Amino acid sequence: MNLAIWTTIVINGLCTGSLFGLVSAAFSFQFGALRMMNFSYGAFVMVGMYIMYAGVNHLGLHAMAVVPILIVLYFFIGYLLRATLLKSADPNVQIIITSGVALVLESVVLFIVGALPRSLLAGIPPTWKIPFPEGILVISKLNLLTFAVSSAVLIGFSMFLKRTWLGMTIRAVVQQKEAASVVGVDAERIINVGFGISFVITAIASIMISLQFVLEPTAGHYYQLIGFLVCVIAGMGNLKGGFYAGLLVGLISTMANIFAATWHDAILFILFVIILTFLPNGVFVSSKSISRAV
Amino acid sequence: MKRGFLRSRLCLLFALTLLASVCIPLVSAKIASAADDVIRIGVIGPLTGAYAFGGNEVKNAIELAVEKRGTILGKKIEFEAADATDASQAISEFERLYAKGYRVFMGSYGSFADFAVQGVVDEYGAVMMSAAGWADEFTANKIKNYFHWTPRVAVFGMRMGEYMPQYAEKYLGIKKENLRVALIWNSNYEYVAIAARNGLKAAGITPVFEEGYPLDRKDFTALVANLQSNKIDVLVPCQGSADGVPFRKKMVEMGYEPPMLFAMGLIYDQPDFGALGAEVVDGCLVLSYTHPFIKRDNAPGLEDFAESYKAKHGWYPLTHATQTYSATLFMFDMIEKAGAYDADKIQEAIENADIPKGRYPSYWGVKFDDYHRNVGAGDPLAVGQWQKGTLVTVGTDEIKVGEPIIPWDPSKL
Repeated sequence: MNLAIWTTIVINGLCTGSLFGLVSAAFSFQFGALRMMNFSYGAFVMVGMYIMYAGVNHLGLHAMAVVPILIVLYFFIGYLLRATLLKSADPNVQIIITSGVALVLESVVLFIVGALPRSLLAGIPPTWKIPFPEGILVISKLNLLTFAVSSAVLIGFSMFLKRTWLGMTIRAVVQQKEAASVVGVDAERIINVGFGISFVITAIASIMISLQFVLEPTAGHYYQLIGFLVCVIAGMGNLKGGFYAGLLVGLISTMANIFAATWHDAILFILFVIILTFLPNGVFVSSKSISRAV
Repeated sequence: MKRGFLRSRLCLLFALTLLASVCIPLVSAKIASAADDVIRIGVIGPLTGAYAFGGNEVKNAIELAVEKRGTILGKKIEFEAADATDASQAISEFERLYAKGYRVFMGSYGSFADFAVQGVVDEYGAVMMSAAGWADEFTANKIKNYFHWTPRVAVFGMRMGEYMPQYAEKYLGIKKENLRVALIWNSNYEYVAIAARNGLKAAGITPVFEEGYPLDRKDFTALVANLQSNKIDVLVPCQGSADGVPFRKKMVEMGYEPPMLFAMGLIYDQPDFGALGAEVVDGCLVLSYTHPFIKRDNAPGLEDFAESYKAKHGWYPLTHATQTYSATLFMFDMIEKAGAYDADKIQEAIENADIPKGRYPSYWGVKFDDYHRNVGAGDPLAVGQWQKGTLVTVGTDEIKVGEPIIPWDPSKL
C-alpha cells in the first residue's frame, strides 16, 4: 500500500472514530452525569435512523427538513421518558424499564417496516480526490461532515454546560441535587431537561449514522455496544475524553481491519477488558469526574 | 391429612393433564384426517421478527400457488401459514397444524423452523419440502419424509468454480491457472465462503487473497485498499446487506473496480442492492437460484407467476418465492399422482419423480437422490449482471436474456 492509501485509511478511521465519539456522548452523559442506566439507547439510535428514512423516502422531505423535526421530537421523547418511566433512581429499575422499552421499539419497527435492510441514500456521496505522493487521496465529504458535526456537537455541548444558565443549573443538580433544590432549583425538572438534551445528541448521532450505514431493526445493538466501549475507555461521563476515545477506537479499528480483520471485534473487546481491569476510571479521565466537571 | 389429600388431588390433576395432552392431539388428528374433503398445505416459518420479509415471501408464493391451482383430486386446497420465530415455536405450530389434519408442509425462510420441523416429520408421518434454504446440513441425514428442492450451498460453490473461470477466460482472456481471485466474507457467511473456496479448489483455483471479518464491520477502506494492492482479477464476495452495501459504496467511492466481481448470491441479487442505484450496482455479476428474470419462455408459468405476484404485492418475487412457488406446484402434482392425501403415498410419489427441466417456473428438473436432495436443482444456476440498475440474466445460455459486459464499461450498454 502506498502513502496515499495509508493516509486515506487513517483519515477514514478518524472520521469513523469521531462518529463513535458522538454515539457515545449521549450515553456517557446519561450514564456518567445523570446516573441514568439507559439500555434503550441503541434502540433510540435505530428509531432515529428509521424516522430519517421515513421522512426522506416516504414523506419526500429533504433530509435537512427532517433534522429539526427529529431533534425536537427526541428532546420531548427524552423529557417524557425521564418524567414518566424513569423517575426511579434505582439503577435496577432503570435497566429493566429501558431494556423493555428497547424490546418494544425493536418489535414495533419490525412490525411496521419489516426486517429488510434499507439505505437512506442511493448513490455515492461526493468525494475529494487530491493528488498525493504515489497516488490519489480519496476523502469522502460525508466522512468529513461527520467529523465536523461530531466535533461541533461535543464542543457545543461542553460549552452549553459551562457557559449557559441552563447548563450550569444541570451541573448544579448533577453535583448536589439537594443543595440545588434548597436554592430554588426544580431538580427533577432540570434532570428531565438534561435527559431530553441527551436525546437531542442521540438524534444527531442517528442522523449521521443513517447517512452512512444500512438501516436494520437490530442496528442499535452495535451502537449501544460501541457507545459503552468508548465511554469505558474515556471514563464514564467524560465528554471530551469520549471524543478522543472515539478517535482512538476508530484508529484501532482501522488498524485491526488492515492487519487482522477476522479478529477485529476480539481486539476491541480485549482492549475493553484490559482497560476495565487496569484503568477502571478510563484512559482519558481527568482528576475531576464528569459529575464534578460538567 | 389435609396435606396428603391435597397431594393426591394434585397428582390426579397432573395425571389428567398429561393424559389430555397426549389424547387430545391424537383424537383431534383422527377427526381431522377423517374430515378428508380438503387438501391441506401448511408452512411454518418467520412471519414476524428478523426474517419476516423472507418468511412472508414464501407464504405469498404458496398462497398464489393455491389460488392458481384451486383444487386437487376435486378437493379444495386449504392453506395455513403459521408464524414461528424460533425452533420450539416451530414444533408447537407443527403439532397444532398436524392436529388440524395437515400432513403436507412446505419449508420456509431462515433455517431454524425447517430444521425443527424436519426432525419430527418421520415420527408424525407428515411430508415436508424445503425450497428456500441452502445449508448442507438440511440433507446431511436420511429423513424419509423430508425433501429438499433447492441446491445446497456446496452445489452453489461448485457452480462458482465451474462458471466463473469460463467468463474470465472468455471476456478477460485470463486462463484459470493465472487468475488472481479474492474471496471475502462476513462471519455469518463463512459457510458460503467455504463452499466457494471448495468450488474454486475443485476447478484448480486457489484465491490469492482471503478475508473474513465480523458482521458488524463499518469501515471498508482498508479492505478495498488491500484488494487494490493485491491486483485482483476476480472478486468473489459473500456478503449480506449490513456489510455488502457499505463495502460496495466504498469501492465506488475509492474508484476501485476489479475486472470482474462475481458474487455468491446473498445481497448481490436482492432488490435492496438494486435500490442503491446504477452508479453503485452496475457491472456486478451474481450467481443465483433461478428467479423471475431468467428467460421466461423456457420456464412455463414463470411469466404468469411473476406478474401475478407483482400485481398482488407491488414488487417482483424474490428467488425464494420463485422456488417455493415451483416446489408447491410440484407438491400438488405429487398429491394428484398419489391419488390421495396420504403422507406415505405422497412420499412415494415424490421419491419416484423424475421430471425433466422446463416443466416448472423454476426451470430446473426434479429427481431426488438417496438423501432426498433434488439433483435437478442448480442445473443451471442463473448468472446475473446489474445493468442500468436492473438485474439482467446473462448466463447460462439456456436461461439468459442478455450479454454480459466484462470488464464493466457503461459506454457499451
